[in-house]
Amino acid sequence: MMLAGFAEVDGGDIFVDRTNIVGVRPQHRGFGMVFQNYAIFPHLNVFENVAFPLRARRVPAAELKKRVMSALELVRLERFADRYARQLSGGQQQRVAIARAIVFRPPVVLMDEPLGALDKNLRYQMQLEIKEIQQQLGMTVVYVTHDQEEAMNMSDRIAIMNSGRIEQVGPPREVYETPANTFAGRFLGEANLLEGTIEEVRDGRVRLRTAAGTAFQARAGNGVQNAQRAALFVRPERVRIGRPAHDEVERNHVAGRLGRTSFLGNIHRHMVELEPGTEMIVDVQNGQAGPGAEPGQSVELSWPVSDSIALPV
Amino acid sequence: MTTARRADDGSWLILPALALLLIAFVGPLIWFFAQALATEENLLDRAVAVLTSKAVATTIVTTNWISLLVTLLVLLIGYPIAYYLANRNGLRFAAVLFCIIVPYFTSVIVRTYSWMVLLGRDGLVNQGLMAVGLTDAPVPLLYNKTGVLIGMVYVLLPYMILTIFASMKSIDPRLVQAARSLGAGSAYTFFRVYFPLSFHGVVSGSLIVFILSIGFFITPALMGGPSDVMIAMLIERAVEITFDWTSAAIMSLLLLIITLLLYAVYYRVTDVRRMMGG
Repeated sequence: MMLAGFAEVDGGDIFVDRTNIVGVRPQHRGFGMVFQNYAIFPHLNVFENVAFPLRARRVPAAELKKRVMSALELVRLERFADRYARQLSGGQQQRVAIARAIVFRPPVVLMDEPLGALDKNLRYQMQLEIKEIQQQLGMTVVYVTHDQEEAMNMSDRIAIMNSGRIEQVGPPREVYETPANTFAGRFLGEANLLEGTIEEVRDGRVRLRTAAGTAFQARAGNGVQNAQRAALFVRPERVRIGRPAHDEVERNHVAGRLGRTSFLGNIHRHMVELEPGTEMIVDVQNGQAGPGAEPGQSVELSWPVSDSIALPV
Repeated sequence: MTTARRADDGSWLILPALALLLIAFVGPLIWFFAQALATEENLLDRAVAVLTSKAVATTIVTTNWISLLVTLLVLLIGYPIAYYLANRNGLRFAAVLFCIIVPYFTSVIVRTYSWMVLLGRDGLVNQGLMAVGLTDAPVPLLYNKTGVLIGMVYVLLPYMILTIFASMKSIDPRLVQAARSLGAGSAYTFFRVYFPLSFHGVVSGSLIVFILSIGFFITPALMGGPSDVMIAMLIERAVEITFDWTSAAIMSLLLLIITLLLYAVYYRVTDVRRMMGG
């Protein structure tokens, strides 16, 4: 909303290509915008909806028609030009909104949870389509979503925001595997976070000891200092149950008691209690060997030191 | 049990209202028309004669003309007020709504007499105008068309404002934001998006005001001059003064038909709105 100019900026600046746009009115910012509820004009047909930004800019009729039709082709709606929004499905309405947002070739397109109202299968298909259009036209898209998979599937860069502050910016893989803090770590996918105190920091590595007295090795996250509280972060799919046959890499080990197991389709999710009140999540790909233990039995967990990061808490 | 056949869908709840309507409205109406028209042997000729008589023809034109002017004025004044209401909340919204609603619940006669006090030769308005020096002699504001228009516009304004307000409230504010973000300025957004989306409210409100206008009696009778006779006043004269019930019935029938036709249009408009999904 602030980017679009509908909300006032409390402080700071917004730059687009080195131009500060704070104080520029929405209609002069020249951003394409796609709303969550599509915001298709109900009294105009598809053609006129897409033509709207061009008519507002007084584009000559012949060029207007050409550009509207090519935008409609891009979203594969050229046969629906005469329809009204109420005659279209949710996915088609979303395509109209996208065509309308790109037809005037804005440098930046803002999408505010555009796929929130669609069902899961359609969402995935639309994600790919939006990504394809974005790359075809080479435009910048600022895409707001609460869906982590969507964020990772579509982004070149993800900015994780927490009550108006950016917690971390980076490529999806980097944000997923090397979160800057516990919020970012928890936000994208499941995360194990074991709290403890840093005992040693050396060469980008730390030793962290939990309250129960177990020591772990981990990569040092930003802002981690000796003798301070920190959380050891490791993704559930990196953790193994049982001792691997041969250790090619340095690993952390911990013992626990196998708890509840959930079947989530592509993975089995095991809860392992390290000590009362501290649980770790272990994801095992469906089709791979099970934990080899019954619930309530003791198991040993291990994961590569390089997959764990100590994050400030 | 066989309750399925006698499923209670609550439709009996409208029976009292229906009975009241039949006894107090439809019955007397039929009785009145029967009384007034049954005695007449050549009804069609009589009807043509009544409706083409100079007095009635002039009155019909005057009635429609005044109603049209009132509707336009009410629309011009009401639309901005409705817009203000639809885009404000909190105290300012409550204050404006209060100013609209309270007179709405006050007797038309009381309000009409209040206007007569204000608009008379020595009324507040003329005193004010002369005090400021805008005019030397009192401006005739009463017992002419100006008076009728002021009075009727004032009485009918709430109907227009509330109808348009309702249609504006149903406009998704994100549509306006979308228009702005797509490069449309305030004026373009208003005329291309906001006004078309509020248009059914404009049509509904105008029809309501027009329908109410053509049947108006008190305000034109009290505030109008000799040339501002409206059809309802003519009917009243026929009943009360000349005892010509046949003429009264014919004119009433005409008024009823016009009202029903306009109501049919109004019904269509609201129906179309539902089809448009908003």
